[in-house]
Amino acid sequence: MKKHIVCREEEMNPGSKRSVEVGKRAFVLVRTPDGSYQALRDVCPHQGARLSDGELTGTNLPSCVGEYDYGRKGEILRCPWHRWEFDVTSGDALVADRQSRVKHYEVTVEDGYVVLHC
Amino acid sequence: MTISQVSPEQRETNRTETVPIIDTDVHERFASIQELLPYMKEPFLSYMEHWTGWGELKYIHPIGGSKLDSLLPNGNVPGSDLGVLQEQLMDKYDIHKAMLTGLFYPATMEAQFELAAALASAYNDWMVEHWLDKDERFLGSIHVAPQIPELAVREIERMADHPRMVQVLLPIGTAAYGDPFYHGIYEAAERKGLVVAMHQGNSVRSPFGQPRYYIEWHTILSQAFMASVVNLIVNGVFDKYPGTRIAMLEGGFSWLPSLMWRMDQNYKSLRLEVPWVKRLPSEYVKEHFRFATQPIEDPDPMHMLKMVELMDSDELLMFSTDYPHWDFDSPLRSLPTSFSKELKRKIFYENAAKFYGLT
Repeated sequence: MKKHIVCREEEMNPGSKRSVEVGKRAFVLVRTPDGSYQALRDVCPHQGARLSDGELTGTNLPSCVGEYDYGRKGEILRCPWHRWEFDVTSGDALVADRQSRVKHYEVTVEDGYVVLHC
Repeated sequence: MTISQVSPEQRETNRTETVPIIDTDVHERFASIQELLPYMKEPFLSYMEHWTGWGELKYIHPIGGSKLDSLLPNGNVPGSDLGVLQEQLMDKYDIHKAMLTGLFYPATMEAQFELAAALASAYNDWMVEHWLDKDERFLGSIHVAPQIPELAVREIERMADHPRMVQVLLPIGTAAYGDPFYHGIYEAAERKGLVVAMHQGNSVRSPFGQPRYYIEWHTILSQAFMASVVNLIVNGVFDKYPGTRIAMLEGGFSWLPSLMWRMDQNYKSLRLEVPWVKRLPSEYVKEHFRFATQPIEDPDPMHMLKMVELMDSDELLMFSTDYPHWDFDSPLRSLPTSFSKELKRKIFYENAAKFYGLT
């Protein structure tokens, strides 16, 4: 793992995402509403869409029949094609199967810079 | 009883002074659905991003009907910009030929059938001018109003001579297209050398009626295709018009093996009810039908390979993307890794080329 400076901390608002390229590798960098930074590989493991073209959103959490419990706003990345949902804090799909995990990367803030470990 | 002697004008001005009025039906309106948003919250606030009202499709799409990278900056519907479609689909994936299937289906109108026929005709002319004539890689579908078969036949005859019209399009909804009422359409298609394509329509229902949720509706769509395959065979469409070719679009295919088994089993006992059906139903399927792959299911890749084996033919599937819809299948990633190069070549190209008579 090498460290790569991506941008200055103030360049990303909470609840936003951007695509980042390091060499030939593509990542989607997310700043969650609580201010933390997360990074995932920018390829959906299902059919290869760019996750950075998707939606950073919340979702309906498991609930009782007929009830809706919306939560995790800004922590779910939804693929632009089939709308598979990924937890940006882990890269796990909310519905797990054999091809449902996106690699998650550590992101730190150092001296005001957002640093991607990849 | 006395009759008051007042002019209409006097009555107009005097009325509210004499008798207050209660009007029990006045229609206030919002100028835009957007005005309701401040009064809504999640999760339905997000649904409203996909608001198109409830029409033939009875649902407000929970996730949006299009792939998000096909959305157009000007807000027009995805798929409506020739240049973007060429770039995102035809050029990006090196598509040799693409069958245009539209999404405007007057064939599902439940009233005003003459208007339906006029709309279908207008659409055909528009499509030729704005799409077929712009890119030689496009092949066209003739839209018709089967509600009045005579008008549908006339439209087929009007459009069939365009060199890149390859099929007549009938949306699968609530009509049983095997019914003799529709047979003129197959006669015309056969005579003109056209395939008849049946594409999923938004008016499909489940056997119980309108499913309560979109996920339920989208999952059971294949039932309408299953019903259509059986309906076309037992009503003798292929016995009356042996040149008929049916392309089933967006209905899936993994249900086909069990349907063929069940039809064949029933045929052995019940053949006498439909004596014009002269061969096993599965033989009609293999000869007369082809099935587009999208939306391909994602089971274990080896199970998908077995599915093709169970179909007892590697010539029944034709690749499709369904661009620009949310359940788009990528040419690069959707066919299972278990499929051999030869099988992929057949699905991507050869099966369709042979079926449509393309070179």
